[in-house]
This record gives sequence, structure tokens and C-alpha cells, in this order.
Amino acid sequence: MTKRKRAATPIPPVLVVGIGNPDRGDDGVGPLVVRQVAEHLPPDLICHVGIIERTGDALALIDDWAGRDAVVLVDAAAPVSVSGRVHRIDLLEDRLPDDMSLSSTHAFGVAAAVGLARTLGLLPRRVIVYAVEGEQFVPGAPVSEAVAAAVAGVATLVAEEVAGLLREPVAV
Amino acid sequence: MATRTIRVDTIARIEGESGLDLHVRDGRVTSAKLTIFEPPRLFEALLRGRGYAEVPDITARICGICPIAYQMSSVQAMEDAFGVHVDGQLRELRRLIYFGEWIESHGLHIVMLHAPDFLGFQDGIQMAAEHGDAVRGGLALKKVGNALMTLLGGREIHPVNVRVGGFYRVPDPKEFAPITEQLHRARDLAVATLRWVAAFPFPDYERDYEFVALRHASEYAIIGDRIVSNRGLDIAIGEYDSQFEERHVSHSTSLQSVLKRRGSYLVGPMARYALNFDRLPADIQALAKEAGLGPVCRNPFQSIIVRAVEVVYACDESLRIIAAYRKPDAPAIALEPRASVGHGCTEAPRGMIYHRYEIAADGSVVSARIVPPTSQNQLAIEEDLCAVASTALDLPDDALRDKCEQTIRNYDPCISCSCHFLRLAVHRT
Amino acid sequence: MPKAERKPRLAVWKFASCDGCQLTLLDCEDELLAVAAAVEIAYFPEASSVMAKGPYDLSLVEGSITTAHDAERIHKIRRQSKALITIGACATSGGIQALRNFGDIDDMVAAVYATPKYIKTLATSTPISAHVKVDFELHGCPVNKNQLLEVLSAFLAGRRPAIASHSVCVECKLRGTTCVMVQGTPCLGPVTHAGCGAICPAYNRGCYGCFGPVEGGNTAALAAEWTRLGASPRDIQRVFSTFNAAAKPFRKESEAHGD
Repeated sequence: MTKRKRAATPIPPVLVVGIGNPDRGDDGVGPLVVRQVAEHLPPDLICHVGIIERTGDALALIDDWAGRDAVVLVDAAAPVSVSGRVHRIDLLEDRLPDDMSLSSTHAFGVAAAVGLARTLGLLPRRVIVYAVEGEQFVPGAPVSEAVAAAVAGVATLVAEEVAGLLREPVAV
Repeated sequence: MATRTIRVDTIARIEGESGLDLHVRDGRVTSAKLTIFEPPRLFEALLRGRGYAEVPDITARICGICPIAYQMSSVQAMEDAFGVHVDGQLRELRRLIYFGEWIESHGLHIVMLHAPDFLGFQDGIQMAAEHGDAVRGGLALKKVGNALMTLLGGREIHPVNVRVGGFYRVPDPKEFAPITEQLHRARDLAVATLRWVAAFPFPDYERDYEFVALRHASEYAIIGDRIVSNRGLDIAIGEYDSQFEERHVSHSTSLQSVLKRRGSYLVGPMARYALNFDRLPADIQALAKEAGLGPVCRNPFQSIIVRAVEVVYACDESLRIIAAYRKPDAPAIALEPRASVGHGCTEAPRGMIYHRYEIAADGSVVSARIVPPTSQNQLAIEEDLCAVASTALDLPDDALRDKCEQTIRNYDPCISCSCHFLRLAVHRT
Repeated sequence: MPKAERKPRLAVWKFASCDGCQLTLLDCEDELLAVAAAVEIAYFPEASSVMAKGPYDLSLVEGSITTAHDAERIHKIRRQSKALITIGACATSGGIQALRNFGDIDDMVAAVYATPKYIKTLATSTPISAHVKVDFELHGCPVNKNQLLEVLSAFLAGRRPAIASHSVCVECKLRGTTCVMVQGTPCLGPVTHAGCGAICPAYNRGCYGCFGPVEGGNTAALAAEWTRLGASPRDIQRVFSTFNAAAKPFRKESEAHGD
């Protein structure tokens, strides 16, 4: 998506990004999930969140999330325990675990993008990562069954996360 | 023992935001602590080193709704320090712009902030659906107050025309023509508002407060000479420190003011009314009586009636000042700064506000002390909350919270001034 | 099924400020009920007990950030607001309380509070834009009523607000006021952003910069004019250190004439 200057319309401060290559097996889970997020969001919230898909260079994420206050990333993770298992990592509290290599098929991974952004002061205030364990990343292969079965559930979780961010009580 | 906690994050419809902690044991409220969330702004420290002529402009910014009160107390204090006195038409113009602020502030509070409590609405805007005339009347009143301040001060929020010694510019008599017309209408609206609020349902609650207010030889004091109370206090403004002191309590970023010998006291419309009833013109006294008030009102819920009475008085007095106005030869009196200490005390809409300045020989401020009305009332408000909440503990949480909120709104507290106000947590053991 | 027209949800937030800018909205007596009919007031404690949760279509923010608690709070507000507009000098430049940025905060706290350890305040007062992205800044101390209504209307119509960006001088000319500088009174108008309607010169005094620096203002040249009119270095240092003291062009000029 090219960066179009929207003079009159402000950019929604909450962004959801589905990261992955749809043509490499379970790597496509990110985009699959975010395509379903909108239908799980109450209608009054939809216009308050941006939802995009990204393939390839994760470094471009730094441009995508520029100026946003909160970002929810959905990405595939290399197999660690069970295929289709979802891990939630809130970067306010935890760092991205080293043993879980996210976006291992991408040239410059999400973990590296987050690390660089953090160092340069370009990271949004809240970054929450939903990582779905995959089992195969074969070029041309479809998403495996276990991962496909997890998509709807993850979409619901992400929608709830977004609703929580948008309705979080502002303590006085 | 079960703990009952009621949390109200913010008390709405009060200038600024804050919190209240109630502790309950065996069905009695044992303590009520007002906690302050307004970040401190340290004006007294900011004023150090500034020029005396900058003080009215800077102190105005302490409060958006009563900037004139700050400006008036500050110029009075500095004139006291330099040994000059503003009198005659310039003093009348000061009272006039001050009445503009009373009309605007009281008008806003009575109709938009306080009346909804008595009629069961969440806000003045929702109340407008059923009480359109009253709300429009209140807004019109407020507008006239603002118009007075704009004419005499340049603009209604942070007026620019007040200075030590007088004004930068004084009006020609003919400039008052449009506002005279508006003030006549405002007077009628004020009487209608008074009759409207007099009919509200008031809880039966009274307390024997020590009222403190300014006193003048002949006027219902807005700018006065002495500070008096209903328990024998009678001092010159300059003797303030001998009787009052400020305490800093941990739960508050504000400073609580107390009478050294007796503790809590109350300033504001009820105090002024109780101590200056005899200075009100006979027709205003009659209106007050018609509205159900005696010469003293001790029910803080009925303060809304007292404010309405003050608005009528302010309209009448403004018209009188305008009718008698002759343009002064100079907009301000001559003065020379000198090394000195000065005191000023005038009646903001919410009550007495005291300023003390130490000035250096070159006219710069060495130190400043500012005691706003709401910090003077804070202890009295906490005591009222103990009493009112104790009678309402059987009510469900929502109703108890509403009662506490309403009790606080009785005082029209100005949070920005005193860094205060309100989130309610009730701890029951 | 026809989609019901949903009113935009408005929230008004306060940080460290005097409340004057919020009050300006309540001072739109003739327009207030009309504005209230065009929006859903979701959160505006000074006007209403309604406190609805986010998200909000438009948040108006008054006041500067002076505590860690508030720094966290503004982020929550930002993420729940489609558009965030700051109103007033405190929110756009840090306000007069930003003078603490250039002094010793502990000294200041001790000067006011007998028990300073009860006060948790940051050493700085910073504008909202130092913490979150801001969609529009409305200057002023206080903001101008008509400009505030213009900003609200523009938002409701989905267009950019039409706010003039010239200096106070143009407003003096429009008002028909004779320039006070040529009459010997130092005035900050030539380097100050328009918006107030040039009130002070109409009241026989020089502008003191409530609306902050105008873009491209030549503060050094104006300071030289002030000196020619008899102003001392301290006078110049003071006039640039008021309600927009932390705004860069004013800060720079005030430092050039410092102690």
C-alpha cells in the first residue's frame, strides 16, 4: 500500500498487521487471521482500527506503524510445541523470546524490526504479538489443517484485544 | 468482614478532576479524605523573580473560570505593598468587572453544574430537553456576565485590561449602552432563576459552620476591608497570617487552610450571605425571604438559592454603577514600586481569596502566597461528607456515590485553583 | 437496511491547566446546545456526568503533561481517539508551568509545599505533541471561541480547519487599531500568532504573546526594536517567558537576553 497523504482524515491510532507469505504454507496464517478480524469487531469499532497485510521485508513495518499508538501483529512462528498453538507476547511486559524465531522465512524478521525500532525510538507505545506455531513452510503448499483450524479462534482473540485497547478505562 | 468499595473515577461537572476516600466502620463514616489529582502547578514558585506588573496576567492563569478574582486580589496586595489605594470610579469599575465574573460563574454553576443534581439529570444538556427555558435563561445570564468582562477586560477568560493601579484603558460612558439593556434582561432572568431553584427538593441537612467573609462599611462585600466570622473573628486583611495557617496533607497536592484556634471554616456565598445580609438592599432581602431563606442559611444544598440571590444583587449593583459612571481622568493611578510586603483579599465567586507578596526594590517578586477559596473549604467539605455519607450508608452504591458527588458540588469547588477533586472509594470494615 | 447516522463521539480531557480552554467551549452559549445536538458527548466531566468508554471520534485535550501518571494517560487517550486535537498553550507548548523545565524543580516544590516528598511531579511540563501524535493544534491562552467552533465544525464536516497563520499585526489592521509600537509601547504582536483578535493593543497595551510564536517571526529584530523603545534585557527576557515559554522561537529569544 502506498503512503497516501490523507489531509482531512486522521489515521486510526490502532493498527493490526497480518504478516506472512500466503504462498509458503503456514507462513500465510497472519494475513488469513487479519482478514477475519473485521467481522469479529463491533461495527462501532471498525472505523477506529487500521487492518493491513504485509509480506516480505518486515523492516517496512516501521513505516506502517509510524504515528500509531498501538500495534497488534499476527505472524507465524517456527514449530516449538504444537502446531496451531497461539502465543501472545505483550512487548510492554516481555521481550520477544529468542528461541521462538518469528517470520523465519522473511529477509528481515519482525523481531529485528521491533529491536531496531525500539533503539531508534520508533516503536509504538503498545506492541502485542500473536504468534501462531506452524508446522510446514513449503513453497506452494496450503496452510496445514491444524493451523487452518486455529485461524478463526485467533481472529476472535485479536478482535478482543483491539476492543480492549479501544475501550480501556482512562484512569484519572 | 466484607469490604464495600465504591469507586467514582471523577466527580463530574466540577472544574478539574479528583478523588474521595471514605472509610466506614460499624455503620459510621470514620474518615473522608479528599485526594487531589490535578498535577501541581507551582504558581507561587513561578512568580518569584517576575515583575510586579506581570503578576495580574500570570495569576489569572491559575483559574479559567475566576481569573478576575486572582487579578483583583493580586493588584490589591501590590497596591498595599506600594502604599497606594484605588478609589472612586476606578474602584467602581473593578467591582463592576468582578460582578461580571460573579454573574458568569454563578450562572454556569447554578444552571449547568448544580441544578441537574436536584432534578435527576446527568447534565445540563440533558436537562435542557425538559427545562429548556431555564437552561437557556442560565446560558443567557452567563453570557451577560461574560459580556461585562469582555467590555471592561478585553476578553472573558484571562482579561488583559487589569493592572496594578487600575486599568490600561477605561470606557466612555456611551460604551455601556448595549450592556445596560442586557443587564436589565439579565436581572429578570436572575429573578426567574431564583424562583426556579427555590422550588427544588432540598435534603434536610444543616451544620453550624464557622463562616468567614469580607466585610465593608456599607456594601455587600466583594472588595472589602476586614475579614470577619460568625464566631468573633474581626481582623484587617493584613492580619490574615495571625489567624490562619496552611497544612500540607499527604493525600492531597493541595494545601488545607485552617483557623489556628478552631480548625475548619467555610468561605463562599453562604458565608457572605450570613455575614453581610444586613448590607443587601431591602428588595433583595425580600426576594431571599420569598425564596425560603432566613438571614442565615446553614444548609449547603440550599447554597444554590444563595448564589441565585447574589446574581440578582450583582445585576442590580452593576446597573447602579453604570448609571453613576463618570470616566476617570486617568485609567490608572500613579505608583512607584518599593521593597515591601502587601496583602490583598477579595471575594471570588467561590469565596475569599487571599494573596500576599514580598516585592524587592526593583519591583520584582521575592515571594508569593496565594490561598484560594476551595483549599480553605476543603476541611469543611470533608466534614460534610462524613456527616452526609453517614446518613446514606444504607443506600445502594450508586445512590451513595450520587449523594457524595452532590455534596461536593454544593461548594462549587474550583479544582484548578486548589489542585483538587474527586474519585470516590468507600472502604467498609 | 439503512445504516443509522451515528453521531460523532466527543471527549474532552484535562491535564495540567487552568480549565480556561474547556470553559471556552462552555462559553459558546448561543452555539452550545447546537454543538451538543451534533455530537455525542461521551466524556466531558466539566459539563456532564456521562462518562462513556472509548473509542472516541474526537478528543479535545487541554493541559500539559507534568506527571508520569499523565504521560501514561495521554497514550490511552490517543489510542482510543480517531482524531486528537490539542487546545491552548498548555497543551501545545507546555504552558507557563514549562518554566520549571529551565529551573530546579526540587527548589520550586520546596518553595510551595512544606512536605515536598508528598508531591510526585515530573521535572518538566511538556506539550501533548511530545508524547503522542496530534492531529491539529489550536493555539491560545485561552483559545479563541470562534476558532474552537471552526475546529469542531471542520471536524464534523471532514475538512481541515481554516485557521489563519499570520501574525497579530494583521488583526490590528482589521480592527482599525493604531499600532502601539509607533506610539512608543513595546508589543509582541509582530512575532505572535493571530487568533485573539488583537485585544491588547485595543486596550492600550502591547501584546504579550498568548497565542505563541508565528511561523517565520523575526524575534531578534523585534527585540532590537523593544530595546530602542526603552525595554531592558530583563523586560525582553520576561516577555518571551510567559505562557509559551517553551516554544522554541520564544525560548531562544528569551535566552539571548538572560541573566
